[in-house]
Amino acid sequence: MKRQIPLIIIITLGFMFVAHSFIPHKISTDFFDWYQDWVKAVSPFAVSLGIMSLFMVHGTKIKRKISNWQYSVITLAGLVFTAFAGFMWGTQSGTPYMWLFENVQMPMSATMFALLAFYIASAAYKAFRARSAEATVLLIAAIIVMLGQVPLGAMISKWIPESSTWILNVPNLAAKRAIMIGVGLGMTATSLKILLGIERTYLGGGD
Amino acid sequence: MKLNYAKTGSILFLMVFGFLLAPIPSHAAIDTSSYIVENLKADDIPDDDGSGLVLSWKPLPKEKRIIEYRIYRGVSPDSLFYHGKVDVNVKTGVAGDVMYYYDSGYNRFVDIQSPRKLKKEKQQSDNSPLFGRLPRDLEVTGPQLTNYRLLGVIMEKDFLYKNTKIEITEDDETEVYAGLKLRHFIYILKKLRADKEYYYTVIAVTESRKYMPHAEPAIGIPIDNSPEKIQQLYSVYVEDQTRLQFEWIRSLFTDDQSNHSLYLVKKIDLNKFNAYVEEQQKAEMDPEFETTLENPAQLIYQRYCGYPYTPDNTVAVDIIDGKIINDKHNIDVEVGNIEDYVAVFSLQDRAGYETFSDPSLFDIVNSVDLPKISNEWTVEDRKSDKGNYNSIYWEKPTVFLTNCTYLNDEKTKILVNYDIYKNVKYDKVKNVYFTIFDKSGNKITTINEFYQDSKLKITLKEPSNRISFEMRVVVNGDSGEDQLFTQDLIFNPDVKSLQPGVLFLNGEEVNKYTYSVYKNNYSNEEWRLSKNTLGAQRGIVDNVSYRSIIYKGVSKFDAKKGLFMVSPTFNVRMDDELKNNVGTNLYAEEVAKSIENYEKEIAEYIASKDTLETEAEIANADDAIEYYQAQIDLTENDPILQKAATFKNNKARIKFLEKVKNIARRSFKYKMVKTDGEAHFAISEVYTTDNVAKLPFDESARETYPTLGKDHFYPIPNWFQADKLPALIATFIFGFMVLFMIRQAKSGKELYIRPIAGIDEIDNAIGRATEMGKPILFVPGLSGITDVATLAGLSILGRVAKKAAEYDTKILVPVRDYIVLPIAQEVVKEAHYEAGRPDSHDKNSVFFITTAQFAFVAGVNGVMIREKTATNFYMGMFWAEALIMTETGNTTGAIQIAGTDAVTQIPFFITTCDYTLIGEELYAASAYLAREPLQLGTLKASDYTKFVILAFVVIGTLLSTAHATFLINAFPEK
Amino acid sequence: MNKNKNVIKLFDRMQNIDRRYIYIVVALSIIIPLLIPFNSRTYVTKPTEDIYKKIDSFAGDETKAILMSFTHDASTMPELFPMEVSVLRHCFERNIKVFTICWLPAAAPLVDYALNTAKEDFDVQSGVDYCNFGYKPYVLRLPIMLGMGDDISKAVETDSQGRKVENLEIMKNIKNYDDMNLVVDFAGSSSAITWITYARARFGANIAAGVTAVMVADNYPYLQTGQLMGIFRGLKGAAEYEKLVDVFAAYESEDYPNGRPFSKEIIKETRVPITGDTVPYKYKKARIGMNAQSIAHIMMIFFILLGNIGYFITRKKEL
Repeated sequence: MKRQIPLIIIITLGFMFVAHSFIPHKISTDFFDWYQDWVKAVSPFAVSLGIMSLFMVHGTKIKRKISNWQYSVITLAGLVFTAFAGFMWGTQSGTPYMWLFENVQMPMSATMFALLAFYIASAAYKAFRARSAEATVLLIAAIIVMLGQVPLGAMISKWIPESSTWILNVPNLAAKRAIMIGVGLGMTATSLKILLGIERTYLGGGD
Repeated sequence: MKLNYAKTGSILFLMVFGFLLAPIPSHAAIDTSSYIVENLKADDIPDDDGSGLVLSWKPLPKEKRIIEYRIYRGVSPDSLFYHGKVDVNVKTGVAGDVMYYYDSGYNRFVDIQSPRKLKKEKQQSDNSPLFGRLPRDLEVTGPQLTNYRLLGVIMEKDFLYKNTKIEITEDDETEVYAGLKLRHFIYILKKLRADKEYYYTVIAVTESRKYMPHAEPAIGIPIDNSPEKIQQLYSVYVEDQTRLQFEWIRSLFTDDQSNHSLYLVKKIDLNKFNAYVEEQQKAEMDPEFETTLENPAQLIYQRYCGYPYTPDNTVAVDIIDGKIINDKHNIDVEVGNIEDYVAVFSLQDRAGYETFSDPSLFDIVNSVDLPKISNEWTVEDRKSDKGNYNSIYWEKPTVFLTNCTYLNDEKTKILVNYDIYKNVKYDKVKNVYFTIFDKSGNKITTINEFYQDSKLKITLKEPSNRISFEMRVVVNGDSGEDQLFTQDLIFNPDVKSLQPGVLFLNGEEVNKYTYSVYKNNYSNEEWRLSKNTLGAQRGIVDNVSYRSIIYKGVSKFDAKKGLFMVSPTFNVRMDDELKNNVGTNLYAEEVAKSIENYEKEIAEYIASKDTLETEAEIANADDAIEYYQAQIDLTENDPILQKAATFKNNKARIKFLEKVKNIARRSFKYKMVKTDGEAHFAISEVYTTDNVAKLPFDESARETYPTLGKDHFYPIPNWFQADKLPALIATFIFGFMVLFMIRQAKSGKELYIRPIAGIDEIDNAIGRATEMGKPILFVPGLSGITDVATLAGLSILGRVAKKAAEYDTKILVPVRDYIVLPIAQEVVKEAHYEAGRPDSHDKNSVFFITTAQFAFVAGVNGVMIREKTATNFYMGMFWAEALIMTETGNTTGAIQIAGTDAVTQIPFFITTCDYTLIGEELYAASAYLAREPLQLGTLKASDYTKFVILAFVVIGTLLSTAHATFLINAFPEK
Repeated sequence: MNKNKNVIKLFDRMQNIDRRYIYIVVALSIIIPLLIPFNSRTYVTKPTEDIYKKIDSFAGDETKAILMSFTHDASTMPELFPMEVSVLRHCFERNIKVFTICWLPAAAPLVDYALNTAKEDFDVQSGVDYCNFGYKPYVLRLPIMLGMGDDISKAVETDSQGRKVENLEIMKNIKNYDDMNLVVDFAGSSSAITWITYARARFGANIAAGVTAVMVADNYPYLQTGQLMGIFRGLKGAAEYEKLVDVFAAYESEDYPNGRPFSKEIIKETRVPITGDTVPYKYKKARIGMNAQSIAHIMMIFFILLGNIGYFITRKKEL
């Protein structure tokens, strides 16, 4: 029973949504809106699951003084304090919460994102070696596209930006579309497996 | 000092939270008096209906670091409620010397989001008159009702079914109201009352959210003014039809208008007329002023325009036998030689103030000079929709050039872009033929666009500054022989390039005229604008919303029951002559009482007539008597109300009325106007058809609405979206293949699956971690559970966790989405049970980090570095953060296996991971690992479906290369 | 002989260079051009040009507007912010009605920041020339997106200041996607695709995207099919748009007091110096950034070539 009830819910609702995408009628759209309202109402409750997990994991670390437990203290203190600041002084601009957001959260995310530049550089350095004929093609294409991005490319020859556009528009898109078709089918297949109850891992456990 | 983790931790902690204390000292004693705003004034807004005031004050200097100004309003200086705020950029401050705040039109009074109780404003002195927003508490808010004009905006369903009947007896007269809870209002809006005193004050809030003391309240009195003047009136006299045509540019503010009027003024009377207008303006400014002059202008046309939609701005008035006659407005005017007249347009507001336009001279033309409107137009329900659109379309598709660019430096190769306007009837274009001529008329080339990609590449012998195009469109069912479009590309020195010139159709300039589609339903007399389109456009869709809202004035409340009271009457439709509203009451028993009331009113007016003196007063009384008599007649004789009266149960009665009302509201008739914007226009007849569509409700509705479907069109909801037919067929083919392949697999047939290196290596990778005695890291993607990639990732997690449990290796699963969290936990737990190792399951091995994308990555990287994971799996959806994780994994020396359908991230995974599952391989993985017939069958089926798709791609390419575009056209375009 | 050996040794070392050396070079090649701006050419590409032309075609038109949708947070700001500011500047220069909306709480301050940055130099008023719908929860994205196809003021209801949208002056003549005919979605993802499937397919709105350079490839298929009418390709796209605005929208002369029409020929010939004070810093941020990006790209190419030479030399030695 523990498995069957969720399965029944999934299969019925699943087919209803498949039908919804083919039926433009008001009844169908009203059903969808009603469902969306419920999603909006229910999903915030899941936040508490996340917070509980966070407390459990880091609480255990602190309690057992597992190595680096101090970081856990900072994590929890950050969580509690940010939430407290939000509840206490509100989230308008000028409040401590917004101050934290603008001066801690924003620059830290930007920093993490900026790391990409370095990582891309080192990944490119390692990856682009003319080890074989295919790798050489990849290497040349990469250099043309990179040159096409910068004014230097256009200064060398006007064909560089044009070839760069061609590479992006033709071979790149061809490969990408092929992968996308495969992904689309894979998604459909997985959805179908779920709808038919073949795939049940998401209910917890294999079978 | 040697740093250890504890010390580093505490220092970091202090650094981060120490900053929080930084703003606090700034709260310390500052001279607050210098933060009071100066020059606070509240002035009337011109041209409005007496509901607008504009507040102005001098903003504080930038150094004061003000973040917002809060505005408070009330009807006495001792209690002012929060009304609104103006945000300021702390860094830049306010540029000008004066700040403005407009308190005009309807704005929020109280709604479900208002606070429960009234609160004093924060950080103000004890005797401060400032309060927070008006609360939901009716004891406080109720008495404020009389200070404003209030409008309740209610969903029709709530008004009809959620009301409570309330009777109030005052001075022996019992009034019945419908009471509604606050939550049944979408919102209650308020407007200022004209000629009433309002008090305003403003406070400044600093960057650290310190609320400063308020300024001395300023008084403002809104005054009702005459409406805004229209910009321009155009008048045309069509000599051969003896018809006057008028068109005007609508004014911007339309909130307070009740009548459009047109007058004729004799040129010799112009001075008199100007004097009259001047006097009227004086009277408006000064209520004591007595007017003496009479308006020399003759009214020739009038109509109601108090409808909250854009009204028609074209009028045609026929002169028959030298006279203009209109019974409805008692117009009977003799017109002499039209050259002796000028026309004047006026806008009247509800208070009777009138604004006249500047006089306009007649342009005298003949009907041949006016545009022709084609009879070839159609109104019908739009197919494949929810039932909220009608579609209006006309004539045949148009083609036109949109742009031109040089492709080489010699300017001999050009790229010309074109576009096509299609409509519902001619929706598939087969060919577009372009014939191109040079300056001297020699043919350069002919191009047949059998596949329209909006691009033409043309090679010229030499650069040219003028190229001519002849264009013809062949559509389904029409060869386009009778429609020849011509357009030139002309060199424009400003842009140094060829630019498309004017488009002609059979010699007539296409965009000289625009089309306006107007619509009108059963519940209002006025036509409203549906849409304006360019002359080249060939169709529009008209939105007919399902959402039905009722607007009701709110004047009374019942604090005990928590109810706001509104009038229980409502209109169902207009009578067939569009003269009177067919109205009724929410409560059946009140209908009879209202007849009594009408009779009483009539009796009173008749009695008062003896005492009246002026003609105007008597006419007014006659009008009132006529109105009440009409109401009685309607209530007693209207078929709808008669039928409603037969219901015993009031709910059934209301249900019936709701249905009838909705048909009235949602059925529209349409007319078209083709105009040049200066009164040279042609108006079509109202569109009618004999081909009546089936209604989405029972046919009995036609008894009440005999013209429904003939001229009034009710949009019909559809049960199938036709353009998704290919998708439906494909789904069936796929479903069938899945079933077939599953049967094959079950019957024991060997299904070959190509080996996938990444999956084959999963076992080895787990084994490696076991050997090293280090944990495994598994990231199930960053997206939510609704993403199929996450589901695929989780199913791989199940297999990996089981293997890991068997080898007794720890698995760490950081999760970003909190809905994925419990599922992942369950998956891992179940895997341990299945492997027979429930003892080794640690419930904290699956944990939530954060929903913030990059903070999550930082967390995962931390886990990798501290735990020194030996094997990392990334299975699911990843975005820009992918490389940051895998590069870190690379530095820690872990074996990494990734799988994702995020196409952009695949290159990053390939360069930094040992094995990568590309796209669909991620989905195949669980089937590959499970090796069950059900899973293998689906996998195989998707392989074959891919083959079918490929076949279509190849055939489609070949066919369209051979000019056969039917296959491409069979698929939906967007 | 010895020298040769040393060279081989050096390349050998280069093969297994500590990645931190690469990081340092990348860091320097980014920081130095940022600190010391120099003039370089900005070539304008078609996807950016198309957006410019589309927005420009609404100039001075009371019945047309554009919507800027912010679907990103501060992390992608360096690339996306200059685009947003230049689009806003374009709108303000050319009297184009512009709406802004955002779907993440973290984006709300960014919208304000962009609006405040751009509006300083213009006499524009909220609710008249532009309107910020403010933050709307992501779960409401789809209903709002669809709702705007029928009636914007019903779908959005209130703006960021809590005013009723339908009462705002800017809403005159603006009802749905027919009027608000262009949506530009700024994101570090392919979120423009949702606009394509709903706003474009159902209501015929034009969709353009402003994305970070890494996400450009993801959006390319839609650009090629025309479902995206244009795209800002990362910082380069932003730099191109800055130049377009400088050359056309901000152009002032007797014949064209409010900017001049777009011309491919003029943009080809015109150079806009970014050193000196002719253009305020906030309007040339992307171009300065592009200098850094160009140098970094060239450094990368140099490294890749170096790595390959080393690879060949070491392989030869092994043979």
